[in-house]
Amino acid sequence: MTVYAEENGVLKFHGSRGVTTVAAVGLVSASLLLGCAKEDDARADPPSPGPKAPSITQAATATATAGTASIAGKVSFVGEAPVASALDLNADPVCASTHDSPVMGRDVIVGADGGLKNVFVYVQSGASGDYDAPDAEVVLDQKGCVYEPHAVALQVGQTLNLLNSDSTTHNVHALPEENKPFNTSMPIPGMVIPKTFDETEIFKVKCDVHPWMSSYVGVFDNPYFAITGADGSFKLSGLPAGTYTVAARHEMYGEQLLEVTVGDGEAGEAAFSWGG
Amino acid sequence: MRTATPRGLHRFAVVAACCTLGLVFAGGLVTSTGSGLAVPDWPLSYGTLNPPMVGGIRYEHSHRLIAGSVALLTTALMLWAWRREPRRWVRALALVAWVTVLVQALLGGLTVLLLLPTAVSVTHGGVAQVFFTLMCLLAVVTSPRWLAARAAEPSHADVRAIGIVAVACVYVQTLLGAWMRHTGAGLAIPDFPLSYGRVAPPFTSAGLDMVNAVRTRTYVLHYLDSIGPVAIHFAHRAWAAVVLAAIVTLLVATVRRHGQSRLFVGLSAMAVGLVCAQALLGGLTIWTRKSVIPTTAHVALGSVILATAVVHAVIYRRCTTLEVDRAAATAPVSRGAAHA
Repeated sequence: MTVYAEENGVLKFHGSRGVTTVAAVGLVSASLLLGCAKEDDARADPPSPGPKAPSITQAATATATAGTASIAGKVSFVGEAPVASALDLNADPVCASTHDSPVMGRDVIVGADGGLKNVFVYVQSGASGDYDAPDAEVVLDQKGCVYEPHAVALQVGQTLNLLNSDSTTHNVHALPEENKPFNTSMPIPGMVIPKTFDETEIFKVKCDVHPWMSSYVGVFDNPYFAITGADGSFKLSGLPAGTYTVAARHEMYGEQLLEVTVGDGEAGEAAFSWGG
Repeated sequence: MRTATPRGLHRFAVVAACCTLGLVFAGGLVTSTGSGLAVPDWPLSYGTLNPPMVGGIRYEHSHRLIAGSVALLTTALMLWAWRREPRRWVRALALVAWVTVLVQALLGGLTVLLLLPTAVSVTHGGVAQVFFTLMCLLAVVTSPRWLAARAAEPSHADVRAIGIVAVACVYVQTLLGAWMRHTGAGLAIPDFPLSYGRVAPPFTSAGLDMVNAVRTRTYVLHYLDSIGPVAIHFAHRAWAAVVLAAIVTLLVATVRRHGQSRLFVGLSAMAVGLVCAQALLGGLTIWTRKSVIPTTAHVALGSVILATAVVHAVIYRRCTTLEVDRAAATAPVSRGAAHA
């Protein structure tokens, strides 16, 4: 996997990871020796599978060692769910050819049991102390001209690897308000750009080349966060005993707050719902 | 040699003005398609003049190519005018247009490199309107009809004043429109002509709950963090009423004072027609959820309305005489011959 980093607004090659390291260095060296590093050569670097993104629950539990309590629950959608429409990928033939079946919009995904997917659930207040960023890296992949996953969450200081698995050009246009905004081109298949964030917030990421592409990144200053799955469920583990303000944030519906108190070893519950 | 305005200069100015309108449309397409940052670098596109023309790159890079072409046309127009145009003020106007297109290009670059800051993007939109108007003025003042025109009608202070007020109102509206577009407030009010089913939308935090309930349940639109976008959007709508009032007042004053002048009445009537068409396009923009073509046409027509208002004011100044103004004060309704 070819890794790049931005230095003073310029993309710099920072080597490869895993078994592709030697090959990539060799390719770059050969290009430099030949004095004509063609764009086609760069594009020939095959996409390699990126580091597997840890599930958000894993990320939360892996670094939470301070307590034994947990808060679990479900985010529900009440009533008739909006009908998702198919994305029009024809603006880029590469995108259109990637999928055999229509790709549906992901703004609102409601499971069969009424669970609302892609909701950030996190401890907004009540968690005290400093939490080291976990070593596990989170991946936001551009694959088939959609972001995978649609929502990612990580801790302040944790690495988010932007990956382009497509054989077309993407740009990653991040729209944070607390962190530094950026707009990075990713024209080379397989290229990875690592990013870290200093401030807590949930922000949108979009691709201006393919305007239907959007994703949301949640950055938190503690490890107690999760993103709901297809069934709308979530679990925040490893909490010390205490009273917490738990927030649920969905890109379409906004934010809801709940106050939950848990003791050592207790399993608290929280339920959120939208719609109706 | 600067003996007379070459007829070719006028034709060239007309072509350049038409191309500028195309440029305004192309620029509108960039925002309408959300392609403003599809090309992250500037002045090159992905380090080349020939990037892959896919998705948003197609709109952004086409806008740059058209802008470059219009800049070249403006340069040629300025040089031609500077060489052959006998009127100093026309030469100065061509120079101002040339400087404006250069400033506009820099603003375009800045808005890309600074990631579309609202102030820069709105200024880019506002200068675009000014530039198109300047190009239209150059086409008008180099025309044979302008050169042959005589100040035969009496000038009336009310028509002059209303004409200037109308220009100011229209320009403020184009800035409000640009502000709305570049803050993403284009669908902050999703219904039209009402606003959330009312004459005026709510502007309080309590109203925000109602706004978000209607947005998410009825229109399946994302929630709003604050009521700000609603206020910006409504300002654009409310000011549209002010523009319509100003333009209609101009027509009424023109008919009263110069009812026999096909030129004056025709221009002011055209302005009223354009504003009505613009209101319809604004409605279409909402009803089609900011569909690309009506949204962009709304932007381009805004430029045309501004240019029409300015041209009306300028031609009025050209074809009327202040000398007669005093005498006309005692006989407010002119029955003079039609002026061509």
